[in-house]
Amino acid sequence: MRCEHAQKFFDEMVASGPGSARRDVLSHVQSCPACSDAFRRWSSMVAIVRFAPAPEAPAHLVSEVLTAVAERELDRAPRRWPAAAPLWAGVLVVAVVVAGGAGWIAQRRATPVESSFAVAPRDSSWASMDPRCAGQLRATMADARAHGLPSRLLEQSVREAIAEGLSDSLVVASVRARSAHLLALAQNSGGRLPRDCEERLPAMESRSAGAASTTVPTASAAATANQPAADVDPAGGRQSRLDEKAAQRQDALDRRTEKLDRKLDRAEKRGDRNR
Amino acid sequence: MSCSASNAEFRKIVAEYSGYVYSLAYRILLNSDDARDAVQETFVKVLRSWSRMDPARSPKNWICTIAINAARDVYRSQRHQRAAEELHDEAGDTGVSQPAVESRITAREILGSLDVKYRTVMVLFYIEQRSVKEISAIMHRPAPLVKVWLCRARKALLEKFGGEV
Repeated sequence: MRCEHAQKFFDEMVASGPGSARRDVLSHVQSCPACSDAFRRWSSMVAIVRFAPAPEAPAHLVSEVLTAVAERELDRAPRRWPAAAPLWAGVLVVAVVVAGGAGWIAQRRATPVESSFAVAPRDSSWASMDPRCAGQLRATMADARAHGLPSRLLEQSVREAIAEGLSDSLVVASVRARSAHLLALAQNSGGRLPRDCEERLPAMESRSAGAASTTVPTASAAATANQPAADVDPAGGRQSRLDEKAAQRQDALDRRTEKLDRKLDRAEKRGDRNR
Repeated sequence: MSCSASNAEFRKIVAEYSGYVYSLAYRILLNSDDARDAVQETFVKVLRSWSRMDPARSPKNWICTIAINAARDVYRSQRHQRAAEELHDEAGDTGVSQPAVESRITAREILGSLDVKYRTVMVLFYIEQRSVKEISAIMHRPAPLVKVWLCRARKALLEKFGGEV
């Protein structure tokens, strides 16, 4: 028997044990030093592949998936599948129930569960928002998610801003500010958010709020809501112009994000059709 | 199964297969965050293409196909560079013994050196015990190409063990 022929049976021998191999193959492998060595390396290779790390799935994976699916499908609902809205509403109800359970578990964990943010309060808050601001808020959240930022911290920002009684445009501005701060933190830490980002956020936000009583996000919110910039920026002058430019840039970014989103949807549709 | 998913059906599918999809995605992506993203992507796609599921067959193959594609998409999003860092974190967090961690790092480093398509075929062939024909159907690639990928993946791995077969 030739070595090449014997080596075709290596997978079978590894899978079922050398004893199960054909007698001529086994005798060749045992008598040929090259094949014997090759078989040893082959077995090691298969062992390495099978030894590939596969940790247990996180305990809250199911609730995380249901929440994420509900959130993403609701985001798509008005654009693509309006007829299936009841389905998504049902999925959302399930997700809220499961997320409630996940939240209960999360309270007992040292690390808060990413997916356990309160879906219902968030949505009920958004329901009363100006549709344009709600759209901007959704776009900001989607943009943040695309950058890998945790939704939980942005949700928290929404809740805090609403609890403070801020106007809709200022709620959007505060979320944009937090998103910018998180992005800056991630960039400073080599693309990944530091573990203590939650502790560092209040300091960053108070610093930016204290700086000249105007911040880019606040002004951008003012511009977004078509309010006079002077209402928000009593200092006026150069800072206001900078703020307006920042708002325009943010609007352009929003438009670009929406355009890309639409493009992505079309590509997905084409892909679905091709498959 | 009906053309649209009922809550109970979808929830059952998620509960039954999320662990399987996570494990599969983790073996391909070698990163738990990316694997979680792949799981979410998978079930979003499952819901969106529910009507295409063949009720006569087990959904496992169908979900596996979607999961492989989702893992590939996540991999392409360029977020796969945190593997080694995360594994060291895992060792610190869970108190895994050092030799075990080292061998896992070795396994992960060796597998991580493979291209994702080679890693995928190796996982499907050796861990999922799929035939070349099944892998070909799952990856939407011709069977001869899958054989070539398997051969190249084996060759690349065997070279790490001191030579070719």
